[in-house]
Amino acid sequence: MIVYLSQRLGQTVLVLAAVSLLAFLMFRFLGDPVVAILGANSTGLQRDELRRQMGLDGPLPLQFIDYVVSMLRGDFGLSYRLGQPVLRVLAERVPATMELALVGMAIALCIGIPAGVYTALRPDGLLSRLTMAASLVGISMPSFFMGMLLIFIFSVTLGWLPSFGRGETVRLGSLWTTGLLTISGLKAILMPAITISVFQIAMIMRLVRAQMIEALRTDFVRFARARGLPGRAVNLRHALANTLVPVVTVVGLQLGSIIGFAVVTETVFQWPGLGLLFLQSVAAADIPVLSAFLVFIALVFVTINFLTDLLYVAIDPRIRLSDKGGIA
Amino acid sequence: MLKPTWRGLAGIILSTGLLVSSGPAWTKTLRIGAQADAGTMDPQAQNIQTTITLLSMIYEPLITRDKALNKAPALAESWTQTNPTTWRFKLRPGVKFHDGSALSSADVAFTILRAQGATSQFASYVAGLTVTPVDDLTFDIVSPRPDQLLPDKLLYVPIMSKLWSEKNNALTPQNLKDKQESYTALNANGTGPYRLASRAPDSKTVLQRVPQYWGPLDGDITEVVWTPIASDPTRVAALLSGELDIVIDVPAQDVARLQQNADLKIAKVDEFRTIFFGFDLKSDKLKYADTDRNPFKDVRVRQAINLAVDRDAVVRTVMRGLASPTTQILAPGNVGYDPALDRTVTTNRERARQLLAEAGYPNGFGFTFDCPNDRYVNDEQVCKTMATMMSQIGLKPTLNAMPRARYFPKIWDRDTSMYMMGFNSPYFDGMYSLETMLMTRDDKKGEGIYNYSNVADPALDKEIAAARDEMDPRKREAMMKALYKKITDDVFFVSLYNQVLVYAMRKNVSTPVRPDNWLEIRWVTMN
Repeated sequence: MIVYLSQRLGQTVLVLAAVSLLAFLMFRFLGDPVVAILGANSTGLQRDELRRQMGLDGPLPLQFIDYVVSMLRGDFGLSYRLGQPVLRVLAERVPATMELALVGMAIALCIGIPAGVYTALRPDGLLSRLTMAASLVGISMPSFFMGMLLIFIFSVTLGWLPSFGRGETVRLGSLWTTGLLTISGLKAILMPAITISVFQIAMIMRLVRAQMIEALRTDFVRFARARGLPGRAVNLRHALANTLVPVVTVVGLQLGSIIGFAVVTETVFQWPGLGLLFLQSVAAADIPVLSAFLVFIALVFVTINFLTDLLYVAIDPRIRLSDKGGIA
Repeated sequence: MLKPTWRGLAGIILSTGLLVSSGPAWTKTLRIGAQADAGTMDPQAQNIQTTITLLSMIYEPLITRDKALNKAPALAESWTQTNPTTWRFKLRPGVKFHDGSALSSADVAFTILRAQGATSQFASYVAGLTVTPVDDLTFDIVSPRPDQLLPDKLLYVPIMSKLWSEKNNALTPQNLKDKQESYTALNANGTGPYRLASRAPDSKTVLQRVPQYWGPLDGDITEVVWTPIASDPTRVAALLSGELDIVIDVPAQDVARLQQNADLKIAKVDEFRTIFFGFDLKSDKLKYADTDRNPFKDVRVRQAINLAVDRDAVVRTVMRGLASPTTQILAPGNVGYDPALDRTVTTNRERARQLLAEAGYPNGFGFTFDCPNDRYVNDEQVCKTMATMMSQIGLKPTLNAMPRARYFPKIWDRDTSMYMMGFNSPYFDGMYSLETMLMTRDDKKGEGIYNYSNVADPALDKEIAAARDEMDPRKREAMMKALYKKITDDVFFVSLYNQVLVYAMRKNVSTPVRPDNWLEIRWVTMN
């Protein structure tokens, strides 16, 4: 286990190094950060002075070394756009995004798995067919449209839910703010979370259904039935449990992408999370924020992958973590 | 695990308790929705109207404008020109910053010095000025050369507290050299009617009424909540659902719909922002073109493009009626504006083709023109239409649209053959455009700093400088009108339209709309 963990850690460092190099190179071509700091109308004298101050006038390799050295010291620099330390800017946005992603994924799991099981067990039922049709809509509906639809119904027409923002937040400790402890915060998270979950519900449901149908055809399920075990136990304990490994993998990856790329949903609801930050940072060529953001997202994916590996073992006792650095 | 949660719960209980005990007897909150947030709370770090507007609720300049848009006293009670380069100011006595310290001449001297710093976006407004305090409330401002617009420029320089800035190490607008966080990015200390109560960038900024404010307010708003909402439909939905009281940048496509809503009203004004195209007027061989010459140096080619543009069609279709066609680069309401120049040509493609042939391009020529795609209202769409209209007279334009972070550096380097620009004069005066866009480039003197066409004409420089330095306002205006006629007739720029500014608000809110898109909080009333 320790060997496995340390190997994983080594891989993580490699991934992060590659990502930071990519981040640096990519964002050099995004545009000139001087625009964000000085605005569209500035004089040549101001620009030269600023570039000199920021060390942007040196040769590129030197700039990269500078960038890596300060990153290794945990110094991601200052946001060009906001004038604040990048780490704090990110730390302020992470709770909003995490809560949104987790609530959205929870909704998706609570609806997606039962719906998948149901449609697999009764493939020809009317309800199953309706659910399948609805899931097709869910998969194909763009999330900005879904968001606007919800806003139109629940904010403009009914006036029940706020159309933007996070509501009132409560500070937990020094780093985390949560909207889940206030009524306005709960109201505010509902529509964005549903918007995020719609696609996930449809996907999880279809995945569970397909896996389940396959599992139901396997010999051990048939034998279990033949032995006279009650249908509920067979369906849930034997069939469903065997479908979960791929579901966990996909859910893990999807969770990573919701955290990293909920750009559209966050923009529609002015949700003060990472997605909104990303979009605004791209427009301003705010390179320090963008690089740190990429590194953070890489970290999220690596962590989630690691956790899903551990989850496999819990779900399926036949899987063992080998010391060769993977699953055997 | 449990502990922080309990602390959080305790926090809620505590905060509701505080609200009951220490809140004012009544609150009247104005909730403002805008497309973008103010980028900073530093009054000198960002020359963007959104930031200027929000900060003008907290900070105040020496001079402001009244409702007729004439200059009016703010922190300065009076100012007189004692000789061509010296102005004497008298500060209003008894004015206090939000932290309780008194306003004095030293604060003004400090502010102007700070505004001249490298990371200040207002450096060109105060270039070369020196402030000499005479006593606590009197000071002289000396400019390097006679400048009739000096008071107008000071409108954009809100006064900061010297002590407060020194105490918080906020001596420059942004300190990127030392990679040091700017205290002023999140904190403010002005003399204005509202003080900064809380700020969460990109989500919410709350301002609270200062009871002892020295000046008059039209309304009795006790709290201002500034909410940036980037997504157009959401911003409009939030106004419709009653979550906002006023939206200061209404998307063109929603204006008609909002007008029909009984709970809302719409206010419009012609904005000080003219959208036009400029050309490389210097190179002998056009850089991004398939010709060995520079066709744009020939006035007939520029005239041809001017004739090719169907401004009414652009305004009607792309801008949905929210623009006023024009053929000059100066908007109405500015000193030097001549309405006769708004309609100098009408679309005439045949004549345009004829002019191209006379200039030696009967089959047109191919070239690339640059446009931003996230800077002006519908910029990319306007440029696409522009490309179509130019190809209708036989030219072969290629559109190169890009984000502003790439666009402006390209234009700054004068690395363009034809470019789009939206420009306004911050001083309600046409001299700014002439001096910065048409004089030969001299960054040190602040001349031609936005001369992206590379115009270099000593005779023109002389004429502009003469108008600039003319002390008689009437003569000066006549000289400027003559200059605008000349550059319009010679088609230095192909202008399209002035943008129209639209505010939408709930029925109980009223405010005048200024053509420079400056929401003046002192004029807003709420019933």
